[in-house]
Amino acid sequence: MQIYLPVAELAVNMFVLLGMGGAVGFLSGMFGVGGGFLMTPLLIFYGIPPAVAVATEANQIVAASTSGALAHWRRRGVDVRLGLVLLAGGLVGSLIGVMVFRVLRAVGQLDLLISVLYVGLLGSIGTLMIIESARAMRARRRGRPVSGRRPGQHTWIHGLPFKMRFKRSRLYVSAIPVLAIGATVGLLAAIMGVGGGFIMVPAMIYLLRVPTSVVIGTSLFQIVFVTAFTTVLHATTNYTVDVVLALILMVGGVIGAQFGAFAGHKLRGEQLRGLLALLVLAVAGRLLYDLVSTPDSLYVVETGLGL
Amino acid sequence: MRGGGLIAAAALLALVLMLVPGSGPARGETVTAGMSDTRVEIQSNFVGTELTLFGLIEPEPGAELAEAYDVAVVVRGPGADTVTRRRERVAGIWINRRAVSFADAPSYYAVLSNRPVAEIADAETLAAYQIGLGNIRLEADGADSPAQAEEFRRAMIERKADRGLYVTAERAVDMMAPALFATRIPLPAYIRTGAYSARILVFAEGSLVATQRETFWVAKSGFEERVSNWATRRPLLYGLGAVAIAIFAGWFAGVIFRRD
Repeated sequence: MQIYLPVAELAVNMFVLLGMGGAVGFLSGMFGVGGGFLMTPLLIFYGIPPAVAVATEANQIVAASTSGALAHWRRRGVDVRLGLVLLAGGLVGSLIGVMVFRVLRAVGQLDLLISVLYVGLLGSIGTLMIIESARAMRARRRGRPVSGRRPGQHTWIHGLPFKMRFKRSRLYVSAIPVLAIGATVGLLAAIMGVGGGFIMVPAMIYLLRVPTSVVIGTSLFQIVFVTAFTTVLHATTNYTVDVVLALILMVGGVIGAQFGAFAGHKLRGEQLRGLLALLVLAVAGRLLYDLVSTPDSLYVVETGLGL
Repeated sequence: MRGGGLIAAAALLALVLMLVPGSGPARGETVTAGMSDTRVEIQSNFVGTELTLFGLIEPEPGAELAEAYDVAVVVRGPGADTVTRRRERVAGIWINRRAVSFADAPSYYAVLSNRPVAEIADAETLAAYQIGLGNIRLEADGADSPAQAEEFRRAMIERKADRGLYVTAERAVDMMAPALFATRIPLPAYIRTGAYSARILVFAEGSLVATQRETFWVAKSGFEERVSNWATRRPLLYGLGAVAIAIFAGWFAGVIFRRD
């Protein structure tokens, strides 16, 4: 069934979009990731203008992370103080990101930046994940326990000034890396249409040593507000948020995530991560191919960006 | 009796002469046109449409119709600033480099005719009335030379034609009778909203004998109209609304699928 997207100004097949939302929702439920980093490239492959894909995906992530954030909140898995400092950084990052987005769009380099960032980010994350899960699988075969966290170790991070106490996380750490992590995630949210959990969670665990019990809840808490802020900024500066598209993706995503979570319990962790890594690399590969292969036409025509 | 027969024969001859085309100078024709619709509404299921335009050529009272007419219909959509960028390979990656912009270029343009326009009128006439993709008046900005401006102009027209936004159809006007014609204006899914004009040009033996202009509107309707109005006119409210919907959807999903 064809449906006309009022902001993207094109007709799309609603079932394809529902299917895409469902498939990405399934994966995000299975792997416990947000899914923005898969959804945005998929939307671009489908022909949605990258500017609309990014801004609309930010809107969808608000929905996808709200239910998770609420669930963690009820389990007291959110360190509000830490979340607010991350959020402060995130808002600044998002603001800068939306401005960069606007300028690059005006000079015709936005699509390029989005693709290059995705190739770089997905390529490196996918590679790291493959290495990590291969190592874990080998370790399991040899019968050794897999250990990730080495608590008590101090790094240069702990020597920075402006220390703050985060009670629920039982942390006493400088505000600088917290703000920096938040800002990076905000910047990515605005330019790439991702929640940024896949960067924030490892950074919180490995750099800040936040206990695993509050990592996910706190990052989701930050993501809800940063993507909400990003959505409003994109809506007011670039006019690229398509609520009809966002709504279709939300419906597909919510349903898919339920089945994904169920399937996730049936598979082993390393296998899951190995699968996700392959998927991430495939998306990066496709984007890289589009960047380097000779296009059908050497010319691009843009009409009335409203800038 | 005989005299009466002569008068009747003369009257008949006059009548025949009036009906036989081509015997008088083809001057001062008028063309009357109508359209199947003057408003195209973009709704949620819009995938493009076609409008039928039909017309009748009539001679000036007392004059006669020409032997044959040619009809060209030039349809133009609302103008929009259009940028054409050329991609170049830099370090293996295709990057947008030179950009040439065309101010107020028609977002949609179609030339529909009963036969190739080059056969209908001479090049000067076609240029004067902007008939044909090569005759659209466009002002290039950002090009180094006229040759470069021409290169980008061609590229822009080609890309627009690929998307069905610039159309040339050389047999699209159906001459159902020497003075009666009809054509279909193809409007693709991603047309711009606004006022469209269809200019009907009637030629006889290479010279323009009558013109007429019809106007139609393309507008989003109902829900689509409201959404896009809000998005552009009340962006803050729209953005906040989008966020509110998302938060509600997330909360609602959490309630119905609650596992803990």
